[in-house]
Amino acid sequence: MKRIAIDFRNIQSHADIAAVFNSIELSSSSKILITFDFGGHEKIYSDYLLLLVSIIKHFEQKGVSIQFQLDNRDDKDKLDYISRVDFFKNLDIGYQEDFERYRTIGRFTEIRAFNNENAIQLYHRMMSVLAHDEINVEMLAVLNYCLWEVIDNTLNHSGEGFTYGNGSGYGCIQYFPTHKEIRIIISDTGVGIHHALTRHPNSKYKDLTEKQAVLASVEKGVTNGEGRGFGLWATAELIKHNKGKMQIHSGNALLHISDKTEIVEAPYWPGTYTTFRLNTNIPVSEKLIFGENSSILESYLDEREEDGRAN
Amino acid sequence: MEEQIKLLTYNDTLATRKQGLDIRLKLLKKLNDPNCSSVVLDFEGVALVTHGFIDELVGKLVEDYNSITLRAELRFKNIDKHRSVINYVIEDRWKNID
Repeated sequence: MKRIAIDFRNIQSHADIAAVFNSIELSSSSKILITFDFGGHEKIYSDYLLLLVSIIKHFEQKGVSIQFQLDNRDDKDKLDYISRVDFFKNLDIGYQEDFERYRTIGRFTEIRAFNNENAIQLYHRMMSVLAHDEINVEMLAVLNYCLWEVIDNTLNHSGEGFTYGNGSGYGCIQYFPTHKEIRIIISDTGVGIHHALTRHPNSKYKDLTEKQAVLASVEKGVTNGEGRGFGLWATAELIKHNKGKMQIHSGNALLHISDKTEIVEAPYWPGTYTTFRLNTNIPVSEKLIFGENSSILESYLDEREEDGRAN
Repeated sequence: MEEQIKLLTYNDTLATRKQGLDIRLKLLKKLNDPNCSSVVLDFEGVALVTHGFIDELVGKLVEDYNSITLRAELRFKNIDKHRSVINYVIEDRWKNID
């Protein structure tokens, strides 16, 4: 049996999780033991845990037989947090919770799988975390638009065969009021951006390399011919105006967006994940991104009014 | 003969491109029916539409139909809450054609 050690003292970036799984060759008949060590002083974020769930489930679906072992149980608070975001539950790892589960509204969502049937519920839950007075309403409106676009991209472009709704993924969000920060991740283990952008029969971008394709995915109007090419572009613009951070990792290409944009070679991720870190105390204007005729704020306010009526 | 598509019969939340595509295919069938003079898209009771859904449902028609035909054959009803999204998406598609 092969062994993969996930020691969070050695995980410094999201790409490090991909690297751990690149270090071992897995086939459908492989049997592996994954050991987890959540020790160390660093805080563990749910977006890292989600990536683990996403890639482990990917290998399980390919027929790899996986067993788990929890090596370090010293830090109970950390393990309780890991359990509270449903990391253990997603992987069917037994963990005895001896705390009360308070409602997550306004703070975080658990790690959730989504597909065409339940994506809208996850999106609503993620947006409910953000309904705080600390975040300016225009930024909320833009985020509302961008978050759905990234989720819908996963549904429409990560699956095989260029068929809408064929894709699936995982998503979660966490709000850190003390640091005035929101962390979001949407992940899939599908066909990847390069495939989705260059292989579609109507694509104008068939000659792009993987790095070029990932870089192009945040340019306005870049699409494989199906959508309008606004989703990732608008998200990148939001991040830049907000002085936040965004990563798009697909295949071997990793795009970093902050005050500068950088594309680098990275360990292979089988599909695509997008992470955002937003500052809740830096307002963003929707018109700066979408122009004077934007409908983003108006439609968001209508949506909120409708939600208020329904509740 | 005027035909009607009540969008609420699909869902009160119309968010995905897949939903937009499924309904557009039904809409196209009616628009291409020689016995059908026009189609009304009725948004009554629909709580949420996204830009992606509207783009898939009507934005893409802009590429296939000229504006005169589209205005004559396609009408919207009960769109008050969704007018801004519909206008924005259609205007954006027109811009790209221009």
